Amino acid sequence: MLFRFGERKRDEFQKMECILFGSIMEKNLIHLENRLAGICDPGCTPFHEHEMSFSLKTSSTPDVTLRLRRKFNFDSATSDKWRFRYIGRPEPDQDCPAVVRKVIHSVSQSKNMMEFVKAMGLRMDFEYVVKGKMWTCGAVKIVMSSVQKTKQPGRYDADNLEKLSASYLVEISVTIEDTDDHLKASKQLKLFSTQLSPIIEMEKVDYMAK
Amino acid sequence: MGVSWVLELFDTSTVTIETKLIVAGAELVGGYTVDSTPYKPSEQGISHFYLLHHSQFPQSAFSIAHQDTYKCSPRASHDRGFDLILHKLNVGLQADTAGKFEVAGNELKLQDFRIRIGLATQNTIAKGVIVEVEYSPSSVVTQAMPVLTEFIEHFFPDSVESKPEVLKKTAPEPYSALETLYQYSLLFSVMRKRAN
Repeated sequence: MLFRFGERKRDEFQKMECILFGSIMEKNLIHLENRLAGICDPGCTPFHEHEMSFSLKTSSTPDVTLRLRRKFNFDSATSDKWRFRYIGRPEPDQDCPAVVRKVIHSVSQSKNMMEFVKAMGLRMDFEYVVKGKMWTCGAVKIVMSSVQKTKQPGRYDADNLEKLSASYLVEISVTIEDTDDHLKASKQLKLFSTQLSPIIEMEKVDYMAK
Repeated sequence: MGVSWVLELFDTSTVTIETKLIVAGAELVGGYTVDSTPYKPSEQGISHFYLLHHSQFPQSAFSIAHQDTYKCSPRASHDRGFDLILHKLNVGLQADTAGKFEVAGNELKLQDFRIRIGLATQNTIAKGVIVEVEYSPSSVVTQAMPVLTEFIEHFFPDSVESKPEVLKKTAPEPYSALETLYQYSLLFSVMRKRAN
């Protein structure tokens, strides 16, 4: 009896993400946290992670960027576990109130991940350490994080980490299937974000504009 | 998951091997497949990669870039999302469908052993017979090797001398599925170079 494997739906790993961005000063964080505690699912998840952005540079095509992320201050159980994330370019829809982009993620494990990505032709553009909390409200994910950059790549002791700014980055997002109506999901996301006003104003940021 | 010894057998057929094992008391438990797709680099500074899948690990993908030894070879295990991510990197790594290998066959169970016997094909051209012998109770190579070697000596005595590199360990390190797929990819490399 022969059975086929590998028919796993690609939907599980490839999604569309609708996302809004905002920032809040650290002194006002408590107000946002109290508001989120009131409207979100019970509890929040703290995280402290290290992200590296790699790109595949070729002579004839635009660069392809991949993000690699793992727990910061890892122990031996998590040191070789990473998450690959491909984030596509935002959909060029002026009427859509949120940034909509394709995302593909994959969890990987390797004892020599840096050699692995180098062998694939990926070169690191930048890295940062992010620490914060995550809330959920149904399908909506709210991530509030403080971003620290490394003064020298590859060194992660406290002396080498510097806050990027005094503000916290806030992202609210929802992931939908490729075939779902992203306009409807974006409008619902925008409506959700109004509950956080006036503590924070969530916006569709055109981060690709130069 | 146990420790696996993957070997190629010559001058025999999958039916012959299955019959020999069934006479010894093995029972058929199902089928299995393994596939390997090479990815060719389009630029300098990128290695040749192989993306493998094994039906025993249906949610996983394994990628290996061969160097001189297993320890030096960039390698990683992933979930199946990596197949899609690799596709996005096709400007640098392009799938070589002409070099794709597939192994399909039956899996037999004999006491604590799982034996997978399959015919390896490269684009429908038969290239050889591959057998994977897994000793299930242990996932530590140094513990499993005496029993595994005895099994190979009994059923496939011509293959005892060609012990795979990943099974030549002296320290009690854990074994992983990636090492099984590495053995498959080495055999595919040898078969690829061989004339039909």
